[in-house]
Amino acid sequence: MTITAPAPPRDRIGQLLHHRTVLAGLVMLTAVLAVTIIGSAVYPGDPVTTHPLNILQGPSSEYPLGTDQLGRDVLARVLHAGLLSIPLGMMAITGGAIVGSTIGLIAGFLGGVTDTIISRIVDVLLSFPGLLIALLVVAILGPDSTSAVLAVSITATPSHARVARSTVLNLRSASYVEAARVSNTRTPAMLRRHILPNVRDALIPIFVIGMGNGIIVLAALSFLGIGVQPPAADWGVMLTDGVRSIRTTPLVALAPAVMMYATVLSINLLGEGLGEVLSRFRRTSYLGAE
Amino acid sequence: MRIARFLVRRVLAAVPVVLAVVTVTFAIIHLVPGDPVQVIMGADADPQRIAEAREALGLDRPLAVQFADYLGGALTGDLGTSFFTRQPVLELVLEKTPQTLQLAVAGIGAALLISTPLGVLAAVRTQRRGRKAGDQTAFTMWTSILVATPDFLIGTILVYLFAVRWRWFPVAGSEGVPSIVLPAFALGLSLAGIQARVVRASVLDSIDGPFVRTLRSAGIRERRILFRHVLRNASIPVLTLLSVEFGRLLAGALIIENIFARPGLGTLIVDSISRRDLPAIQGEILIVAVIILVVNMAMDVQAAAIDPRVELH
Amino acid sequence: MTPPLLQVTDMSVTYTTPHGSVQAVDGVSLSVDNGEAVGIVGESGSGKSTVAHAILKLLPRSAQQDGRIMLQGAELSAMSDREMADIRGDKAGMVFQDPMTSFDPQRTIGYHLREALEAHRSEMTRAERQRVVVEQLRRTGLPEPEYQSNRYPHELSGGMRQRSMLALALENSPALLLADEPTTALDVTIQAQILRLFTDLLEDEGLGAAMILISHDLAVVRQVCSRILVMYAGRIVEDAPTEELFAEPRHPYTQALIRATPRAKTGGGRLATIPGRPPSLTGARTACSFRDRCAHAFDRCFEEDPQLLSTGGPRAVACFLGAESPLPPLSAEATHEEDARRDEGGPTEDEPMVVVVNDVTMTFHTQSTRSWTFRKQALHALRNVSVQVARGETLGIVGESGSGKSTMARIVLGLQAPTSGTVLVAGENPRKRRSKARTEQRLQAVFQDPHGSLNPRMTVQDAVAEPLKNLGMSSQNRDARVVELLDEVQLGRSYASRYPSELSGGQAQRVAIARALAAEPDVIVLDEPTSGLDISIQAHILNLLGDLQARHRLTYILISHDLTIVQHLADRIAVMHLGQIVEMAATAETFLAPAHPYTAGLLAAVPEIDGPGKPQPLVVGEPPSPLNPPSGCSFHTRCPIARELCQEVDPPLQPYRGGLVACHFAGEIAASSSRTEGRTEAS
Repeated sequence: MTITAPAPPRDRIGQLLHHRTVLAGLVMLTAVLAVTIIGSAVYPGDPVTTHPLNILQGPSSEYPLGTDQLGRDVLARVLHAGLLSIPLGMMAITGGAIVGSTIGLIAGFLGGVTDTIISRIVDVLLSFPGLLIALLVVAILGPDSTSAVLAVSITATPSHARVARSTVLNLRSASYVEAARVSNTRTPAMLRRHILPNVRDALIPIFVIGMGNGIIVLAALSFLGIGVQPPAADWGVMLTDGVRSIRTTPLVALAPAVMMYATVLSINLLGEGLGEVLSRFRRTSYLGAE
Repeated sequence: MRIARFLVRRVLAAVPVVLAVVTVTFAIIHLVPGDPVQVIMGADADPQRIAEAREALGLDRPLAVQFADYLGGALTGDLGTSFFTRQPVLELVLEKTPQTLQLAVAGIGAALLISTPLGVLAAVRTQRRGRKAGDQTAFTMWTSILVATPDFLIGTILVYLFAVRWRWFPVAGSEGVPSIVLPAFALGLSLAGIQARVVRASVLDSIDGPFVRTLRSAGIRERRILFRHVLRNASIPVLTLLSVEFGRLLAGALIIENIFARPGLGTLIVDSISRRDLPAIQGEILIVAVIILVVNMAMDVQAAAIDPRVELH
Repeated sequence: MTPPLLQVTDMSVTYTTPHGSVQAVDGVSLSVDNGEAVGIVGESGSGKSTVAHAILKLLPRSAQQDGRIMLQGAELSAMSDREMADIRGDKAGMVFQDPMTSFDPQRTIGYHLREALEAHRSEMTRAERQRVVVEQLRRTGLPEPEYQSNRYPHELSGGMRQRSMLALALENSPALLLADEPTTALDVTIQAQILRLFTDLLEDEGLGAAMILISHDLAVVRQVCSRILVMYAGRIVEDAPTEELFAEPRHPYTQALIRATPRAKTGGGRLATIPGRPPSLTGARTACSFRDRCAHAFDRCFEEDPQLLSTGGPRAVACFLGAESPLPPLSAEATHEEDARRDEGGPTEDEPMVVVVNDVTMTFHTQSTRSWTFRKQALHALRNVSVQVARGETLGIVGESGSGKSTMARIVLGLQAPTSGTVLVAGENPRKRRSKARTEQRLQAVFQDPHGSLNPRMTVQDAVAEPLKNLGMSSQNRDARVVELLDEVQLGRSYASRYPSELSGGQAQRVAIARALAAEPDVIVLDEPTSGLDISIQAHILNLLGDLQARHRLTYILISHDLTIVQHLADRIAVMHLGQIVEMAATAETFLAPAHPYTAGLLAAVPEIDGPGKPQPLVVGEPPSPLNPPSGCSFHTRCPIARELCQEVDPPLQPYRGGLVACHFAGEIAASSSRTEGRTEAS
């Protein structure tokens, strides 16, 4: 029986965009980013100024989302906090991803003792919760946004290293890689043609979802008081404040919670969808019969 | 026999890891800039008194000696004394550990409670519908809603909804069963999302798998196939997942404890960090590491016990 | 006239796939009488396996099944799942292709058999059940049945698992046994044992079961079945008693298939091929589905769809031509090219050996589950192997699983360094980057899995051009050369822009061959190049390989477990067993008079398509593991003529009648096997 095979890698961007989950994630993320960026530019409210007379007020025409315990405009704060949470989280992961993938590539490629040592370390790191590692790092360097970002980078490193390494290892025994070796493909060309594209495709979903994770861990650190330090505010800091006044003015906590949730959800959807589409490109089998 | 061999090898492999953790925590803690003694005694205390205190605490000795001392102590169960509470660290930590473990287990329970029926039903539904390709994508999408919820976030929302607005559960504290419900769900929701996917996938794999075909061809009834064969096979990936995610779960527990003001390792660690209580921090991290290693090992053994194919190395 | 045991009327199966609906089976009717052994033959996509599954309603839910099925008077088609569960395992049993995945890995073999017993005879006690189980396992030839019944599926070998599955299917004494490619995944010597088991069990009066045997291998079916149904594109196209089918096939497809199957014992030469590819199974039929590939097609074939009609007597055929009269013979394939190859090819005296393997040993170390620490076990893949290949020659390396032949391929290709010993290709070590083998690409390869050997992200053009890029050829020259190569492997230039996922297995393998030829190599190592391909496609590929060799004076090292295809291309054959070469001689001699008992066993085990001689399981028992080779001669545990000396001393490879043999009693077996040959010829 002959069944038409799925569309090959020709129209990759088109296929990526056609996937339901990718689309949903992309739309949502754009919305969140738009609201945050445009909102903080356009909305006249001031996130920093305190108004001791207006503390913990509910929503009103002057303060659409009410005020927090220091009388600050919640809507303004939530928007500007996004400007801190999102980029910091993304930066943190990017650093960790680059370092991690390189380490994983090296380990997978070189093999032998190097590989054993590296993968042992990576495995150990992986079994420990990112938060714990982050806590350690912050404990050394002192609570501060820089150290929080660094801490989050470090937590992203092992997962990228592991995926990069296992992709390389799988590829090394792939028939087409052996065929390329027999055809005298030298290492640079081998990397370029066969290995790196696969590694890249395997890492993209991990990276994207990692960004969501990064935002979360960063916010968690801030929440615990050891990340971004007040008066600078990211969503985590806002949550700390909000939890205290949750009985009276829930919006102070709910606003950052909802924003963060929307952001992370959209990033996750994007990442999961990308993962599915990209793995289809790697499929080698033919769907028909002779 | 096979399992005993496995255990021995795993313990042997774990030893260098534990040593590494001890070394790393020690190194890190002692690289902390700033003087803990000063923190305790106050910034403007008399330098003489500070020096004396330092000597008394043994912090003036060379690092290597301190390390050897610590290591020796650790082997015999002496993890030093807390700067702050003057309790032996081991005692301090072990006091709080049960609470945290309780929470972690409750979290796993909550996750399984949600994910198992969800995953099984989704799998059966997909199988009945003839395995439409879009099913997996749709399920992934829906479960993303759960997966994207970080613990403290959902903790906050849950607290608001159930404790404040609707007053079904207590806001904080650790009295009795009702107080563990919200924290457990806060902890478990995110895990439930990932688990549901794994449950669904592995049930689907087993349900129409080749060995199920053999069983059917021999005339074994569907129900028996599902319960005696499929679910058992399907549980292996779930266990593997738990083993992998346990670390994250424990970390989440630490945060949840902070939100819900439950005493446990979480609150302890945060306090120790802010108090710069070095021995306590060291001990806490070490114990957490050991717990994770032990749990991983236990999960692996469990998986091996269930699945005779597991290579056990 | 007793009613048939099984009567299938107008069965249809339609699958809904994400790409549309596929008609896998279209209006199939068949009947099986008590005690009859019926074979269903066809290539992939013919629907044969679907029919078997459909009879017991074992198809997945995405399949829609129509038609009536009557088994012993009971109407299966209308039954609920509950009622079917009573029938399955009791009135009819089934054996599947892949014994590895056919058992629940978490339960012992004994558990499976006891469970199946209990499902149908709940009145027995556990002890009674265990007794019956052990007895059933013993009956299917499982050694040490009590012990094995407590083991897990993954702890048994393929042959043992298949015996267990047979025991499972037969333990409730069903009236019908369905076997879907039961021996395809097994080594040929084990296959012979299992096929003999089938025939023995069926002849056993206690059983008297009827059987439906599904296979792509005509030869296998010929040995076991008394009647054969040939399927093509979801329909039965011919139905005849076995001997009549082979003596006088009435459907062109049957005729072509018989011609396309390679033989073990006749001389080499081109194989008959079937042009084109099977039709798409979507959409309605308006004409004969074989018309585009048929050598005898005429006008009516393109306008009407022939039905399966009786030709008088027990035969039926779905062909306008065959229904009326016997088919004209297929035109003789052009043989002059093949003759030319035979004349020109082969080594000449003064050519240096182009591949020299000297005393190579390869030992792998794997983590053992048996040790308490991290000690590793040694796997002896190759042991002191030496071989030389002359320019222009084809050396065939034959062996079953565990023989080390794939390791040989990798070592010759330089992909793996031997633990000891040397390999020289064109005088240099192929592992060295600077060697000519590498830089000038004198050495190339064609691998086993065609799709696996092509990067799914690269087009055919890119894949074939890769060796040329590595040589530094300019883009223009490359493009021209790719076109040239695609023509040579008989793929149009339009294929250049396709991706591997758009190619069939045969097409993908041709791309791989084109790539191997690109840089004009001297030597090509072919590792199971046709495994997994249909017979007709295999014939194409083999012919192509033969033509290319003649045209370019290539040297081939052809590695396969399939004796019949090696025989078609090889000048010399090396037979490997457990990491050693046990016999090496010219092809003709090896096949006519094998000197080593293992070679004789391999040959005897191959079911012969040209005669009803049954495969002889000369090789007994289970293959030993390379982790633990037997003392002395590695074959002695399974050898029909083993003596005490064989257990103590490992026979060296020594000259014998123009070839090399590693056996203390070389040639003894040839005497007895020629006796069997005589018998076969006579019948």
